Amino acid sequence: MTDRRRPWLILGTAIPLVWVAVTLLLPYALLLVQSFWHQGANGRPSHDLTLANYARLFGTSLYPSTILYSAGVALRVTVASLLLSYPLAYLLAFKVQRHKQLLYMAVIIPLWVSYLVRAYAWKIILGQQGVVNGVLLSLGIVHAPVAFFLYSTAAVVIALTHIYTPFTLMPIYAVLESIPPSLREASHDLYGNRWRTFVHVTLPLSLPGVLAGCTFAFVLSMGDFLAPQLLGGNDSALMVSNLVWSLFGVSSDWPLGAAVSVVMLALTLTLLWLAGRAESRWNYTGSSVRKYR
Amino acid sequence: MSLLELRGLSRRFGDFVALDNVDLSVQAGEFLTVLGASGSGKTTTLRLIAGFDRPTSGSIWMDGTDLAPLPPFRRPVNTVFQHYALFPHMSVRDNVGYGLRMQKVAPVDITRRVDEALAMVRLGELGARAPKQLSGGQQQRVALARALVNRPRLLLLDEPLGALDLKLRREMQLELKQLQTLVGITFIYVTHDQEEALTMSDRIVLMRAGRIEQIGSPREMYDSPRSRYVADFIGDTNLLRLGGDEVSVRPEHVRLAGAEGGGMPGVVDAVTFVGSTYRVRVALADGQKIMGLQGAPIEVGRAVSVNWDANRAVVVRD
Repeated sequence: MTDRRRPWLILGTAIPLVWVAVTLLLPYALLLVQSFWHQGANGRPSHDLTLANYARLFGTSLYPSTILYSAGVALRVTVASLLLSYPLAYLLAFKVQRHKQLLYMAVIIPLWVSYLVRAYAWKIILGQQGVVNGVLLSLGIVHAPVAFFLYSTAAVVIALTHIYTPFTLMPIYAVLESIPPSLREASHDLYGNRWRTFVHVTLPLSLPGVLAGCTFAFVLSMGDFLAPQLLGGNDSALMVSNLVWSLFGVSSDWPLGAAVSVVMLALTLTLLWLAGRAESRWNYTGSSVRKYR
Repeated sequence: MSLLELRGLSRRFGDFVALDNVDLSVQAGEFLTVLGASGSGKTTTLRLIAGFDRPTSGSIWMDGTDLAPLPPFRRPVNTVFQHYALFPHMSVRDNVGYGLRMQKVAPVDITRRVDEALAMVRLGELGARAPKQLSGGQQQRVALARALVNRPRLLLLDEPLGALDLKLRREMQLELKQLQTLVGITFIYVTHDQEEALTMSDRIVLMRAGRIEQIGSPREMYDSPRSRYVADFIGDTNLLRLGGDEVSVRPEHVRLAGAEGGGMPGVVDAVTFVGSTYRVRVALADGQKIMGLQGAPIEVGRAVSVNWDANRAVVVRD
């Protein structure tokens, strides 16, 4: 490299680095520090360091149980997304010959629609005057609109599944595409029928993509707060991020809110780290699902 | 006795005719090489026999059954793939035992047969390794063991040595041929390398544009090419217009004598040392060029006369 280009290179590297530091690392650092501050009686935090926030967090059943509840919702969303996206990715990668790009886009395009629009759409579908109730009423299956479709855990799971399925589809599709066709042919050649070829060759080789997709769905839906807010009712289906929101907002208990955030962040990072390790262990096809991370 | 018969086999991809009404009979126990340039239909033929692709029309007969409608996992045929296609998530042993497991062979027998197969390709100690821990030649042998362990009556090999370097390729050619003689399994071997075809085969099928150009033993293909394409594809040759005919003369049959030698007059045009001999190019009086092999060097620009035995010159059609 010539010396003349070096300043530009430094500048080109420095700008994103500074950006990430200011917008990401600095707030995280502040959050971490704040989680050890003391919540004063006047509602204003004092700067003496204490573990009291963490003691409150794990001492009351509300926070651990909400974290567990959120994890439960996230797990259901993950399983549902996986069940939807794996067969679809499989069809796209191996069965669809024509209009492959078109179909792939059909799955991906919803990503460009605002999150809020998609969440509201479910409100319209599941509400008392919604599409589902309309169909049930007109078929005479029910005689009055059913209220529990909306404002329930199920509604949250359905909406989140819809929103995050593309995130599971993409890495699974990518990994399936990266499996050399000759490997599946070799299995057929060695008396493996379609099902056994799937079980012994395709599925094991696609695990890195499955894992990446599941991590996306789990982490993103665990931290979600809008879907529970819009579709989960007032308190029946609140998730951990809703708590964080109200701690920073309504109750203005920033140190405790920070502590909850730090715990969530730690859980998420641990999960990502474990998933990353497993992924690289299972990665045989040299596919690049990790680039999605 | 013929083991496999292709009858009127065709495969079209849209307008492109990859295989055009091919008839071929494969003898039990023979080493048959399907030779051709890329796009000649040789790989298509192999894929149709293996079952990875279905013919547009025609049939593939083996033991009185038409294989054409059967999926690959119901055909008594195994394949050695071009880039080995070893399962990367399985050990060498598990790769070799895969076909037996799929056929639900008893575990005791699997262990024994995998041991035998690995010993046969001299990889006995490497069973626990992962494929990527092996060299190209070793991976090639695993692929061979993985196919042969099933004791197929017909083994298909798709340019199996293509990824190896020249030296290793020559070694493996001999080894493959010996192995084939040892196990007595019919081999259909696809390659674009005419030298490989000449070295290993009992018979060669030369393909061109989806059709069979000529079938014969390596000797027949080399000595009696029926067309200029065959003469040119297999070995080095001189293609000369003499009178109304086109004639193929192999360089090793060309004799050079002094200017008064009584043959076709010409002038030495270029001389190359190729190790064992000198390749001498002579420009004939009528402007055609002819290549000959000489034990001793000869200087460029010298007037010579060119001769060959009449029975060594083969008239070829277009």
